[in-house]
Formats: sequence, structure tokens, C-alpha cells
Amino acid sequence: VRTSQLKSALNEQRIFLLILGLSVYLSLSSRYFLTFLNITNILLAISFEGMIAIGMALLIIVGEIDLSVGSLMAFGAVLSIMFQPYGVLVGMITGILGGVLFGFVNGLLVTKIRLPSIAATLGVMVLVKGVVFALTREHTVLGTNKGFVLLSQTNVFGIPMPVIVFVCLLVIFELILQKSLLGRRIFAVGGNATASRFFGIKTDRTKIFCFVATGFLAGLAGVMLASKLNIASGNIGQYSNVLVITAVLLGGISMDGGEGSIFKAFQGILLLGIINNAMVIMRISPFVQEIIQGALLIFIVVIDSISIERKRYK
Amino acid sequence: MTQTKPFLSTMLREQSQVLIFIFLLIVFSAISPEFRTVGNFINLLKQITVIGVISCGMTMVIITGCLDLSVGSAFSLLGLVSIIFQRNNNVLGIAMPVMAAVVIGLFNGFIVTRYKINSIIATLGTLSILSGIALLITNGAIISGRTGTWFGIIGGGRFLGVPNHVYVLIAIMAIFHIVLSRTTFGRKVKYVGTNATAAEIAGMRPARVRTSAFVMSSLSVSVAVIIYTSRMTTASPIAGLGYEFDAITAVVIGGTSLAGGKGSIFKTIIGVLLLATIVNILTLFNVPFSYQSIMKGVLIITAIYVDIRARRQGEN
Repeated sequence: VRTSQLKSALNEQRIFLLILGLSVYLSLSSRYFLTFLNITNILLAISFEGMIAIGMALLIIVGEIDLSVGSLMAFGAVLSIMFQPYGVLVGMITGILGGVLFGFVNGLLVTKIRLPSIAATLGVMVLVKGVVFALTREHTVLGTNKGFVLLSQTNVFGIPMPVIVFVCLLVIFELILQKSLLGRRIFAVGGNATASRFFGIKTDRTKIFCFVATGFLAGLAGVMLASKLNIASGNIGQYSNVLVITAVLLGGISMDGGEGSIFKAFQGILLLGIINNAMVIMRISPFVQEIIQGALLIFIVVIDSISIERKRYK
Repeated sequence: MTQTKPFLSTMLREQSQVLIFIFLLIVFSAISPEFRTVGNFINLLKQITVIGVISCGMTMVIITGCLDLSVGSAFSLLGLVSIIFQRNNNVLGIAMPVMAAVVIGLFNGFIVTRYKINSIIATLGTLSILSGIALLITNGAIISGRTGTWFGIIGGGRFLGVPNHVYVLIAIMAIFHIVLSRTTFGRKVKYVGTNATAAEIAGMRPARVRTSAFVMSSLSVSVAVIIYTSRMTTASPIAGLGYEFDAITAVVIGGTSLAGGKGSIFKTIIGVLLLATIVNILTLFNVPFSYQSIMKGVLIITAIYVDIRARRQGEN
């Protein structure tokens, strides 16, 4: 009994073990890897798409998906820079609201008009990208307000602001998901939407919440990214949807819905961050990173599908 | 006489895209003198060949109930393959992308059918892989092939005043139309898209049908690539960026259902023409590219909505 318990425990924590193993290997092979600066760099690099991964985790748990997150991030980034003349805070709020608005549109299309989420968010992705290019006239827009840059470039005890925001969001959304009524509803709707409707759960509202939360997080990620770069353009977030979906599935959240945690999504994005960091240290071309990301996505969904099938036969 | 009304209303519903297309042609010709020139129409045909050919393959995949998001980056990669081999040998410049396309299609089909994975997610992975490989091969640079050979005849030549690649498009459309509407395989494609489980019980092999559809999709990409490399004699690792959305938009606007099981090459032709005509008039009126993207997004959502509403009415 004990060995099988150990086995399942190991299987449960396989991503964590993978992260641990890779980190040990990298610390031994490169003096640079295990430095404070490099660790914060890894966290900073994943914090933007990591925020979006929180929302994507909610959506995949509730049984939906959002392909438009990259466009929403670009939208948030561009708005936050374009509204700077009216003040830093106005820019930030407009950027976040932009994400929330289209998150809400996604939610309405999926729940009220009952479009499949993959198709609806595909349409919104193309549409919002067009809006972003129209706003910027297909140029890169530059920040004009020095105060805006402080948002992402401030360090607290040497830790960059986006990392702090990211960690806070992780904790908040994990608490919502695991401890609140809303969280339990998300699991219930993702597990079985029809049954939850019979139990009086407003499935549409639960789903709309997840879409709006994702839009909010994508908008916020865009604002933080724009503040870090002090520029924005329609090319931001071009492959964010692939990256974020890969991270969430890599973390061990099943496409089947109904189970998962924010911490798992964090593990997924952290592993991707470490792999990218390793490739930078080893001076491997960024194009190879793209190949590895695609291959990882396929590999992970294949593993996921095999384990779902096994569960069914048990 | 009693027959006329239901017939007319069915026809209006079934062929509404054709009517919209004709309506737009008349309106655009009336408001724009530049639009109604022969040169513009030939131009219009020129613009649709690449997307038109890709859309034929995409139609097959969509009717089986899947989607192929990898066509854009497959286009970029196959373009490089074509030009790299064309430098030494024109025949290889045509044969190699075709063979590589078969490999890509088999890979997509295998992943989707063997492991029962959502085709959008799987081909999103392939999209990243192929685009990474394409960028890696040339390190992001544009490459050029040998000019002044017969290789350029497909994309550059004319016959009876019509560009040669328009004939290629017509041939591909005819082949796909016949395969889809006149062969056993075509019927299997529709059955599998309607209900894969039932099709399997009836003795068909959905996995094989879907894999074939994915192979046909990448094969059509290779034909589009040959038209493109023949016309340009260059290839860029980002040449096909966004083609997947153009093809899907065209197929969906034409009236082929994303849910699978229904659709035709004729509908796709209308979808391609409709999209190209709208883009053409927007370009003539100097509307920036970004607004065309907004319009495409709205069109995709509207087309899916119309399709879903029609299906729900059918169920009731």
C-alpha cells in the first residue's frame, strides 16, 4: 500500500519534482543560475503572462477557454499609454477596464448567445487586435509620463513590483477558488454544468465571472508590461495564448474541467520560465524556445489525454 | 404555384451568401468606378488564389469537425523549403514542399485522432513548432531563389489574359468539390463530422478520415506555397502569418458550419469571394488594414452566430 501511495504522491507532484530536478541541475552546471538576480529575473519574466495564467486556470477549470488573452493584453498596454496625458492612474484604470470590457464580451458571447468559447474568443482575438492596430495606427506608442514607469520599475527589497503584484494575485485567487462559495461553484460548473444548474447554481454568472477575471488580469498584465517597457504596440502578446494555455495544462490542470488549482498553474508557468532561462543561459536561439513551447504543449495534452482515458477505465 | 414560396424561402436561406455577394458586387460597382474595371477584377482574382486554395483544404478539416490552425506557419515553412530546393532544381522546389506537407498533415492527424485531442490546441502546438523551425532555418531572414527559369510560370504567366494561378485555383476547387460531393470518401467526411461515434459503429474509421482531411489541408497549403514562391521567387519565415484566420473566416462566412458535418467547396468559394470583395473595396477607399481586422473579427462572430441559430431552429 505504501509504495502505491508514494507512487501516486510522486505522480501528483511530478511538475514540482521536475522544477526541483531542473533547478538542481542548472545550479550545478551554471554559477549564474542560483543567484538572487537571476531568480528575480525568472519571476519577473513570468509575472505578466503568469497573471493571465491565473485567469486561464479559472476558465479551464470551469470548462471554457480564452484565445483572446494576448490581444486583451496588448489592448490594456496600448490604452494605458494612450490615456497617460490624463494622468497615470487614468491610464492604468482605462487599460484594466479595456480588458474587463472584452472579458465581459467573451462571457456574454459564450453564455448568453451560447457560442463555443474557442470560436467566440477566436473572433474577439482578431477583432481586438484590429482595434489595437487602429488605435496605434500600426505604430509603436511611447510612454510620455515618467510616473507611469515607476509602476513596474520600482523594487521593494530588491523584488520588482510586477512580481509582488503577481504573487498577491496568486494568493487572492487561490483563496477565492479554494475557500469561497464562488470557488466551489466554479468547480461544480466545470465538473458538471447541467447538474449544477439543477442544484440552483447560476452557471452563466459563474462563467461570466471567470471570463471577466481573465479579461481583468490580461488588462492588468498589459498595463504592467507597458509600464516596464514604457512602450506598447499591437505586436504585444502575439503568442501569449499558446504560452498561457501550455503553462496551465503543464501545471496539471485537465482540459476536462472541474479540477485544478491556481498553484498548479503557477508551477506550469514557473517551469516554462526556468526552461526559457536555461536556454538563455545556454545561449540557445529564441526560435528554438518557440519550437520547444509548441512541442511541450502537444506533449502535455497527449499525457493529459492518456491519463483521462486511464481514469475512465478504472 | 403553392410550391414556389417554400422553395424561394429555402433558397434564400440556403444561398443567402450568394445573394449577399451579388448585392455587394452591384453596390460596389455602382459607388466606385475603380471597382468595376476589368483590371480590378483580375486583381481581385489574383489576391484570392493563395487563400482560396488553402480554404479548400480547411473546408475538408472543418467538415470533419476539426480545425487546422497550423496552415499559416506551415505556409511559411513550406515556402522556405520550396525556395531552398528551387535554388538547385525546379522540380525539387515543387516536390519537396508537397512531401513535407504530407508529413505535417500526418503529424496533425495522428496527434488529434490517436490521442483524441482538441484539434485547436494540437494545431496551436504545431503552429508554434513550424513557425519556430521556419524562423530558425533562415534566422528570420528572407531568402530568394533562382529567377529566370520556368519556375516562375505558375505564379507569373498568363493564358488567354488570365493569370495561370487562377487556373490552378479553379483546378484545386474542382478536385476538392468532386472529392467532397461525388466520392465515398467525401460522404465519409460528412458522416464523421456529423457523428463520429455513429460513423465508427457503421464501419467507418473516423481517425483515418480525419487524418486524410488534415493531409489534404496541408497539401492544399503546399499548392498555395508553390503559387506564392513561383510568383515571388522569395520566401519569408513569416509569409503565412495569420493565414489560418483568413482561411477559417472565409470558410465560416461561406456558411460551412464549425460544428462539422455540413458544408461545400461552393460555399467556401463564395466565402473567399465575399471576403476578398469587402477587403478590395475597403482598400480602394483607403481604409487601413487594422479596420479590416476588426471587420474580420465581427464577421467570424456573426457567421458562427448565424450558423448556431440556424442549427437550433433545426433542432426545434
